[in-house]
Amino acid sequence: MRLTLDTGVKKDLTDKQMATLDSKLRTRIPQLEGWSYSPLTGELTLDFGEAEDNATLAKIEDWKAKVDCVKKLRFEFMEMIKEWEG
Amino acid sequence: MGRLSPSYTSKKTLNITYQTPQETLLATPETLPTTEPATPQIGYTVADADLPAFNMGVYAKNWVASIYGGGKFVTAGTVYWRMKKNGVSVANGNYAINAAYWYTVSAFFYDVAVGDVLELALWSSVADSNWDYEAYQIQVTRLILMNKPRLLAPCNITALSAQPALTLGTPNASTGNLYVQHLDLSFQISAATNFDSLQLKTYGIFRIYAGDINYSNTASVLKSTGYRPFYYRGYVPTQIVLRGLRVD
Repeated sequence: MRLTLDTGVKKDLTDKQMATLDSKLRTRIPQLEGWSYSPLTGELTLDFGEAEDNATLAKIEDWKAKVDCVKKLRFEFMEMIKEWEG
Repeated sequence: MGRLSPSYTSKKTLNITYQTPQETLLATPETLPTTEPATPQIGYTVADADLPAFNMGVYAKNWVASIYGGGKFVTAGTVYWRMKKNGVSVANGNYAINAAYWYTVSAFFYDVAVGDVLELALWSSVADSNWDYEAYQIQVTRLILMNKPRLLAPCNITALSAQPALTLGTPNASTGNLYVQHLDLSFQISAATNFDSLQLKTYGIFRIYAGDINYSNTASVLKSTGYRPFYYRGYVPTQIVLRGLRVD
């Protein structure tokens, strides 16, 4: 299950900046398996691995409702894709 | 008096031949650095000989390069990766790997051209992890067969193949469906299918899963206790039978 956020920031990250971002993300989102970031698009993808529990899905809906700075959300589970425009 | 153009083209059969993926399994695994390497461990320059071959000319297409890198973690940690195209960072990320697990990074470069230098750098949060596997293949997506006419009736995808078919190591694949375009609708297939297609200017008659529908200019990681490479790929068309209908 993957969730992509358009951060609106297109900046490349050094390996140290990646480690710092990783620490912050995993502190706040313990379910996180991995993530990726594109300096070309500004998209940050959160990867929850095979997690498919309803609690995580509910949290994603909660984040979607709370996060104002994100312009676009893309949710992928198996081959189902859902997109929201903010 | 003008001469009328024929309404239909003759029935054509397009065969697409994919090149055998380039694979390497190191005899001795190399330790992953704990900071990003100055020179990525894995790199390929796109060559003419790497491209899928067509038995007839087509109007437009996009190339997608798949690059894979894999290895093993002894103790639990995080594998970091960065994709570079012609020396410029395209995407970066990481994935948590359990102790004694294999990992495979599946990296997809969308819209590559002959001469592009594609690289994948790997490093780790722990000092005792390694890498020992790499592979590379080019696929085609967003194929537009003819400029005019644009309506293909029929447009029969008569044969598909799951690509790449990796063989070294202990491979296992997560295979996504092919997304085809029926008039203004998109649907997924994994077997031969007959349909009429309106060639869309953006998407053509199909889009591949790995590298276009998903993972376009980014990578994703799979981990396993027994498989390496454990990788993402998709169904791709190997034969399309079509007849063009003039609609302009």
